[in-house]
Amino acid sequence: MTARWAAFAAAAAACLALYWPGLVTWFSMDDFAWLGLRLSIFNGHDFFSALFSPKAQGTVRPISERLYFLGLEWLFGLDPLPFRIVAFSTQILNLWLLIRLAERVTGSVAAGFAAALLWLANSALGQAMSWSSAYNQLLWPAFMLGGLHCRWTYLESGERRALLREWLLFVLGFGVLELQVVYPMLAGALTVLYRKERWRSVIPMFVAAAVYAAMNRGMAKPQANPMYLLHWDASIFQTFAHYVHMSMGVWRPGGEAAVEPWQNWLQLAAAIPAAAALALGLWKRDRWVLFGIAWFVAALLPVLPLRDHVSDYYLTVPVAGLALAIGAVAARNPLLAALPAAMYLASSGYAARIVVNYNSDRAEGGRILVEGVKQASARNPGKIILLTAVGSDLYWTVMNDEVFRLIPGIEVYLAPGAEDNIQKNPELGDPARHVLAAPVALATLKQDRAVVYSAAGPKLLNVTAIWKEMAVRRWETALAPVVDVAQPLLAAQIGAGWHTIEGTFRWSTGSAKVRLGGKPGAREIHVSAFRPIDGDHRANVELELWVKGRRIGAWPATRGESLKISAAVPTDLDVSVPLEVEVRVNPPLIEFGAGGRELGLVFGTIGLR
Amino acid sequence: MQNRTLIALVALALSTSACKKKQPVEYVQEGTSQLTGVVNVADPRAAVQMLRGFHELESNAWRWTASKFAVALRPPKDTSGGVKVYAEIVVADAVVDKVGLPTVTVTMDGRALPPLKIVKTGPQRVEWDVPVELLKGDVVTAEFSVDKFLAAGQVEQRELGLIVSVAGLQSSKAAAPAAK
Repeated sequence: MTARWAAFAAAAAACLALYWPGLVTWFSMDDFAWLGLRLSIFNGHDFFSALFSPKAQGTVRPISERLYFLGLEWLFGLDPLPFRIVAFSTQILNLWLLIRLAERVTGSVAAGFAAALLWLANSALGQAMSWSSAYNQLLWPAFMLGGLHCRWTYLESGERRALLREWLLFVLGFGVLELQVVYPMLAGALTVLYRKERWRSVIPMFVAAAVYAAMNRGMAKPQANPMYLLHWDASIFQTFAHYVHMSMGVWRPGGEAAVEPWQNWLQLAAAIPAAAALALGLWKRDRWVLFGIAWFVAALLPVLPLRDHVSDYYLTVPVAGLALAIGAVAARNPLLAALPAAMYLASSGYAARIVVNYNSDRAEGGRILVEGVKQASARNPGKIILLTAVGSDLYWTVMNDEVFRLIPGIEVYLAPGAEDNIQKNPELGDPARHVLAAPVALATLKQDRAVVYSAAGPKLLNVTAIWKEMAVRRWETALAPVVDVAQPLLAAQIGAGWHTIEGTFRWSTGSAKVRLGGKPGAREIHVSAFRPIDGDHRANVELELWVKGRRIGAWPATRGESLKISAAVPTDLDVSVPLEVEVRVNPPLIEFGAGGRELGLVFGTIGLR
Repeated sequence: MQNRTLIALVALALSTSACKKKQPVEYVQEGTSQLTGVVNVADPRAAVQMLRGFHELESNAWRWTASKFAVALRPPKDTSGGVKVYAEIVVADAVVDKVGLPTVTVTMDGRALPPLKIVKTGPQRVEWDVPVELLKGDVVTAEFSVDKFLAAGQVEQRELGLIVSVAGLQSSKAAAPAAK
């Protein structure tokens, strides 16, 4: 009893000692998308949709992502500490479950303790221990280990209620991570290795996993990101080899330059005895070693077809299996294992800490930006905040995920030109969507309705005066390539045929013109419009688009529906110079009553992209 | 009485320290900054003058650039002795080993100055004489470009041209003493 608690306390202490910066790490990247989930909820249907609608890559993780972020954000707002406390508590629970499982099956607390330390020190845990969006990688093993405890109880005692508890955890586990489909393999391995005669109890789980897998694939949208394409070919073996190599905690494909030479030597020196321990276990047909290897392989199987997305993130759970296997052999041969284990702990633990420190530092930059914008907004109430000198890292880890929508009452944009120092990353997004059009930015500055802050230093620096001086010179005569026809500051680009602005839109007449600024490289003209229902009794309405006197195309406008038109720019049209665009609505509508206006459609934006 | 005084003093000290702890962290710095003729890429105040083509600050001292990068500069008031546009750069072996030594060109407000062939790797200063008629406004844009560079994806995701620490304008009068 004492040894068990001492082992657990030591493992928990090691977890805190190694990963403590992750306990106070701020949010980054996907976190902001999840934190914004609440903003899409207005009723019960929205809440259901927020919990269960498939997100990127068809994932549905209501427990580990949706509830985790919705609940904690609702309770604590933009404070990362509760998120991190929950993550650390879950990992400490995992350590307890791991130690106890090893002890229950092998009878050795030392085997459990060794497994816990080996798993903990693996650098694959670095992401999960310092990034809230990776919480699923910590919660999933809790459900797996909990299920395996139930299964072991069933295997030992035949208690049916244990099987029911296992089923409950198994089914709930699908709400944590879709990789839960591999759980039946683990339960099956434990059963076949220790109580072969009870193998039939696992079959229904395989059926349930197959049904879930089919449903999950059915829900997944066609993959647009090539990184997540599945490759069902011989590359699976190479990917597996990569993961085996990575499981020592140091080597990463393409990341060789970031590794210290001493880490490589320690990795090699530790890998040989580790491989020997596994070989010894296999040779002796050690069931626990076989189970650990089965865990490693099974947990990796679903990600092996992802040839172009080999990530240490995916190793978080599989390496626990190797830790169980090697830990048991090490516990039986402590003197032989001490030195290689120490070398592994040093090299991989160091790499883990590097990952945590990197994530922590990067997130800190985001915290400074967000807190700085809040302070800047408080000092300049009602004014637009324009950000310049936002580095690539800062943009892609903070701004790209719409962080500022989480702060009510502020309006933040990139200053025109700020996107030119941000590295392009088309698969993640386009910084241009956060840029305030130059003519608008300049007009708001002249009217003292905006301030400009530089994000280049350790604090946000007010550079309004210097930026304005340069902007006047660069953009005084510039035209915006995208025109929001309801934006009063762009009125100079609005031509004939428009009625006055009504809130966030503007009615056209039967023919209306706008002038767009040139945009080199633009390939499409896009138009957003709407045909209201009330009072519109026209039969068939058509919207024609004309550019520089050339008809680009025509589209039907249906009552009550929005139009989002994207028309290819003719190849011989020079889009680097200003263009005149005309929208024609056939037939127009004459408003009821004396002096009724001629109405075309309601328009939003017209622009090049 | 003395005890009460002591207690009051301790309470005052504690409340003072408690108040100090509640001081909000300042994330914003106000103040005035002006356009300068010299851009130190590590200076946050000058960051606004780095118009395009600059990557992240490294070692708090320098930045990799893309194959083209531009700065906005304030011309010196006294241009009578001539003005030079210059950059303190490092031509990296890692780039030259793959693509060779580059030629650097500068365009000042759209007007190209004579190309400069780089003949060695390592840290160096490159400079050009600027026709004074280009320096009549309050701001001038200097766009540097190199013909040989590492394309994005060749070694890393970023396009890599030069390593730059400073770019600026210098009147020849000011430069003369330093040359001695």
